[in-house]
Amino acid sequence: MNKSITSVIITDCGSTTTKARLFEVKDGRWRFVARGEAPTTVEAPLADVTIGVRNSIIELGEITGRKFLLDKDIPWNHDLFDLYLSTSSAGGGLQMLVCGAVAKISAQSAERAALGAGAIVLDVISADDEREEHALIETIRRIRPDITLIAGGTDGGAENFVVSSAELLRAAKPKPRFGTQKKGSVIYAGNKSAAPLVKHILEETCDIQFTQNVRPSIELENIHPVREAIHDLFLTHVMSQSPGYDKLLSWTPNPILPTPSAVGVVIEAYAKRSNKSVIAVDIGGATTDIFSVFKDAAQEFQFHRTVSANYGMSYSIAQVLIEAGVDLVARWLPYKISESSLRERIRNKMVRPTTIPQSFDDLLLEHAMCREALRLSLDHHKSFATELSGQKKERTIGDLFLQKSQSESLVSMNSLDCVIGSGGVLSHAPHRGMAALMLIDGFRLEGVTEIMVDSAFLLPHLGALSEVMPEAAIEILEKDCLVPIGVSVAPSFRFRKNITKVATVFWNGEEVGTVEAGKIKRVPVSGNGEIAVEPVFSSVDVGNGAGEKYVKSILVGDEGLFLDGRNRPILNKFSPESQLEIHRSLGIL
Amino acid sequence: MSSSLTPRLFISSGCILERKRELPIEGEILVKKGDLVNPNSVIGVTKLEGEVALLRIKDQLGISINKFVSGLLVKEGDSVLEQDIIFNQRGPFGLFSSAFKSPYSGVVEFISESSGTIGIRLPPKEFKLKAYIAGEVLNVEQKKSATIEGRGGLIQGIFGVGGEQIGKLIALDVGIDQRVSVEHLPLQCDGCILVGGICPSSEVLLKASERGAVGFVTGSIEDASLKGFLGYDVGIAMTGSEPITMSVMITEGFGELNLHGHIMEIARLYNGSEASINGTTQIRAGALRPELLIFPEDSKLNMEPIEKDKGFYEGARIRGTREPYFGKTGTIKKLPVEVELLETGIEARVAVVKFDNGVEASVPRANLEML
Repeated sequence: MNKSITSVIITDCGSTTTKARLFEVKDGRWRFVARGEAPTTVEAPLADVTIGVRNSIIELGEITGRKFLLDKDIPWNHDLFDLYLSTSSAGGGLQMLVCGAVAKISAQSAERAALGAGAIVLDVISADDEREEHALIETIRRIRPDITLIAGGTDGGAENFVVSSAELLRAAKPKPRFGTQKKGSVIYAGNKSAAPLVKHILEETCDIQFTQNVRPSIELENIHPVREAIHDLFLTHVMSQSPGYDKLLSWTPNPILPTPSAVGVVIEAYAKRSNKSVIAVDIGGATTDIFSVFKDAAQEFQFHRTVSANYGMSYSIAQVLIEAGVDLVARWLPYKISESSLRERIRNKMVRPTTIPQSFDDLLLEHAMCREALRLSLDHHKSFATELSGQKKERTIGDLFLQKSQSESLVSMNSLDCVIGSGGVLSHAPHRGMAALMLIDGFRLEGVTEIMVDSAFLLPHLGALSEVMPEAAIEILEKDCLVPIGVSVAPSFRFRKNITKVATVFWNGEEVGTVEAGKIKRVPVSGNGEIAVEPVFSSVDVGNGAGEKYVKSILVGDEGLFLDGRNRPILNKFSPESQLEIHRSLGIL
Repeated sequence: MSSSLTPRLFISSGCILERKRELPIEGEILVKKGDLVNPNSVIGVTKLEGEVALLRIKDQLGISINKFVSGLLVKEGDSVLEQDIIFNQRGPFGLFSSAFKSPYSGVVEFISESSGTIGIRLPPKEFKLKAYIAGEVLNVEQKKSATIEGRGGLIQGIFGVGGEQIGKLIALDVGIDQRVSVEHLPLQCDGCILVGGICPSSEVLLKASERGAVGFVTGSIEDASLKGFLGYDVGIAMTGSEPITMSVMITEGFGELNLHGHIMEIARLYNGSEASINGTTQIRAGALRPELLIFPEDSKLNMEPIEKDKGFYEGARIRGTREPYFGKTGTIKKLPVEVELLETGIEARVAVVKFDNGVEASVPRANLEML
């Protein structure tokens, strides 16, 4: 720990709300102390992000009784705190267009780089795109990306695909969303032999920067330099043009991270430090971010992030309903509802996103929507978080086109150690068991999985802090941010007639319950201890393979163990009566 | 959290309206400060750059890059007409020539000697910016924008589809709680903006559009009807560029909800007046709501200034915006300071409301909007 810093204020400038958090050393340990919030002010008429930042810190001051801000010219009262940091997703965050040669190779690697840098990827264009060229040009003009990333071609390999991408960009002349500069920003991370030609094609229409090839060979993916280039360009070109950001940048000695990038930093750090495979989800009003850290075949931790830009709980809630369908939403409800009533309630939530559920039925409907948003987002994430990620593998060209060996997902629910939920619907669920059940059902958890929530929306802030003081960030994460809810025990098995008992569960050596086929129930244990799960018959997989016992030291939250015998995959159809029974058995209703 | 605006949608029979009208790219603003305009007045023009069409000649003709270069008949900056031969390559002994005719008229933007592609910049399209409101030009930013101030009626909606349209307001002869049917529609709707009723079916909307209506304002709509009218489900609350000729604005919400009585009063008062509608909706930071602006003759205009936001107060008229009081109107009796624990286990600041149907209840303030 840096001995000279004992008090830090960090803000996260979200699309709607700017959230200030105070962290200080108390009794020799870093702790979360207080929070303040204010509407984000990046849009007209105020158009200055620092106004919202100041307001949130003023509220922080009112809560703590300390005046952190002085006057406009010299914002900080450095007698009261030592360091200010910030993250941002305001103004829609970093929005990118990705161009690659082949959708499943360079375009996908480029997209991973963009997402890893915290961007929202507006579109991915590849040479094997099915859309007509005029439609692609129109799309590029319309979406106005902050940064366009061009990738494609191995070093020394074919140049024509990447030249096509450059020509499309030249034709479209993408204009930035913010700022007075007329040219769009481009990063080239493709075949280095084609770089001079790309420069010639684009230098008059775009501001172009060059970095290492994201896919220097078929077998190798080299994401890190691209992510750094994106981040640097984001700060210098995009953020500095956004209203008030040049002032905000001058207030902090450290770069401002895009919010999703900051969350990813702290999740990755937590997973590596605790040696756990982790899925973290941030489900917001418009988007669902999923972060995963899993070990690859070489036992190295690999981090992936996806943004499901159209799966959220308010602005895009109707899109979740369209993609999931009424039946899959209604299956989670312990009451009957007509299709038209369900659709209209969701539409009204879409147009009045700040309303809150007052009746229990309405709350449970939101929770049902959350399950489907989680399910859809995880499926999207799984298809993206694949094996190829920076590790050189012996692979032939033929392998690339075999569906089985190419792009196997790293996300294995059976080997998942821990799931972390964030976002209002999860963090503020009135009963922690509700949050647990949404994560179990939405993510279809398998095996033995710890379930936690971010109780105070600290993840972005801790990500920023971990860039400066990583130990402090982890200390606060474990003490004040992550709240353990419970542990899910969800075996999968081959169906047998007349079976009732699937597995026996032991806690610290004592039998505490059984997993019963078709049912889910709660066992009230908590704290640190050893869990053991024994399959009853040979096809039951409780996390270590069919028929194998599972034993692990684990932390169980206050809601205890959720013994889920409903099998995997979860049924598409439940009756309201069976859902009512589930909710009652878990103490939710 | 610091103060936030009290949820409300504006309805006024007459208020000051100010709009900044901007060209998409620099052009020419045709008005000056003090000029009087009406909604259809063209106040600015610009040329939108034509697209670049890519002609992949080398690939289409299956020739080498050397042959592409040697056969070029144009250079960068040349103007070409449709059907002009822009490439010609003679085969051995002068036989079997490969000629390429330009499918477009335009200007040669670039020639790529690596991919054998010619980019033709198509002719620019003229864009005319209309005033959209009636009033006086307050301010002009040369080449960019003009700010216009006028007076007229304002009706804000909760959700809409379609962009700006200008037309004649027609108040439909239908009750505020009555479903609009085809029989309620005028036989001729050319250039009309129809206002009234609730829950028009997709058949009604399509018929109105077919008869020439450019706008439709109604209290509520069923989800399936909107889908039937558009041809697809709207998933994200961001609209305004749908390929439709009639913009639709809903004032109350989805389901069966009565049209606000004052909206119908205003529509009847100003029946036949010039009006502008914009169905564009964006529900995020910097939210945009759809709107209907009405410009009656000065002698008919009934000014009703919009009050400044006072926040919720005892005696305020409100409407519920979430179950179980969705659409119900009432009056605030009390505003407790302490948070209340709701049935759902959520803590929230509430208002005690006496609804018009006699029921008195605690309702989260987040689930109310000012009438």
